[in-house]
Amino acid sequence: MGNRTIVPFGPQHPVLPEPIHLDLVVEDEKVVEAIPSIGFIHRGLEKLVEKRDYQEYVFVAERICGICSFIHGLTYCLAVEEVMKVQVPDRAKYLRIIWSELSRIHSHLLWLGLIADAFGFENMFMQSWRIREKILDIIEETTGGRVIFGSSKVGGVRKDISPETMQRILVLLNTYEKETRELGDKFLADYTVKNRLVDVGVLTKDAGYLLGAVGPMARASGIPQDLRQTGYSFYDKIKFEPIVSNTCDSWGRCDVRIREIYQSFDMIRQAAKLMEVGEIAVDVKGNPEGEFFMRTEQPRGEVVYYIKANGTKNLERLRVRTPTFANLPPLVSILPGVELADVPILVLTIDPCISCTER
Amino acid sequence: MASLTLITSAFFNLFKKPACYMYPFKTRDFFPNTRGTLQIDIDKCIYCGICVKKCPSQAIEVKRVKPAKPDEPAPTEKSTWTLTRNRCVTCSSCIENCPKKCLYFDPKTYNASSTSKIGPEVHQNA
Repeated sequence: MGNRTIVPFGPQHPVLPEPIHLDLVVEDEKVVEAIPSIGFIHRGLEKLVEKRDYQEYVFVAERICGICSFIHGLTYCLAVEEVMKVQVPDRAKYLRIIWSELSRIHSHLLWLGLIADAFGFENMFMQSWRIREKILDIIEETTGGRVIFGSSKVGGVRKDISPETMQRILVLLNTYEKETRELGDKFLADYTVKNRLVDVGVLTKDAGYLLGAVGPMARASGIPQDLRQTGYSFYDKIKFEPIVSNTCDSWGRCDVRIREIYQSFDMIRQAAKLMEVGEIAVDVKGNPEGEFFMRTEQPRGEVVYYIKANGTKNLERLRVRTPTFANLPPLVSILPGVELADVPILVLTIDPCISCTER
Repeated sequence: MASLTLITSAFFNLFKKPACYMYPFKTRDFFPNTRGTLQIDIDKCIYCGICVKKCPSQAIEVKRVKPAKPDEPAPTEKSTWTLTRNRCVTCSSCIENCPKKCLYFDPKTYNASSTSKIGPEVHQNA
């Protein structure tokens, strides 16, 4: 038995986008155990729901996280709309799909840059973030903000996309898809990348199912679960299949996320074709009463919003279960047995979004 | 072959235009929809206070001074509309609900500083 030391990883670390602390018990360069601690970015946003009324809270829900911000706001609006039995217009549902998929593309491109930077491939980091800037330009043109969209409200959406702008965006997206495919295919086929990622951090299908892995982490282990198949907000009208890989390792997770970017481009095209001219929001009056679980697919996996309303303008309880929180036990289970230098890569393959994890 | 791809792409890169803006010779223009800083056309404002009620972060304060009746002296104070810019989250709730449409976003001042050292901005009619 070699020398055991405890190496603290985080909360300040160059590869981490957000602070998480892992105590790694290391024996001669191999990790034996990992003990996570979270809580560096807790802001008490679930308590804030008692102070802001249900229409104002959309702005807070969007600011839970910077990367997956639109889908947080969307899930909150969907949950309150279900409780209040609001019928959202069709055009608003398609606009929500378009913005959700743009959000997914920019989140996955951000992740691709971070994981390339984690093993020193800085050129890929710069190229993928360059394409991400162009996607953020499209988002800014249509909603007004690059990161916080501010376009969801209970009852629909607040901004519209004119048909001319939509046509122009579709033409631009064709160019961006070509550039992304060039990057993604080269990344996955690269010899050095495969050396670092193949057979590293293996999460078998049974382990993934038992530990509750969600999102691309689960889909790379062969579990074909994608919450968009439940059909919220007209996703049942879009033809797509969940992207699954059976390799169960880090390379498989990279493969799933990169192919999801290509799939999102296609879904935006489908939604734009099906979208018709119409209203974008309905007036919502009254107060919510009841409780509801809403589950949607964020870029990182399944997010659950539980709301409980008692007839007043403030909700009584809001509970958010984010995908990174569900992916922490699988992370802790794949860390033992790897080399210390692989730890940043494995932490990034779960695509950690710690500011969602602790609101 | 990898070296052939490298040489051909290096050769063609000599003739392509640069990937980024050549700042400061060319600046990036903001879009018309960009949420910049909140501005008010104070002459149109009727000091109704709807923007105060709709603001989720209490960034706006309105003090309305009632106009004098015919047999009373003119009021000494003017109505004011005050914005604490640090609290504004550019949600555009005030802009959507203003009955006189005197509020707007100015994309050109997107980068204007909004620290708490600069106090609340008070606007009133001339």
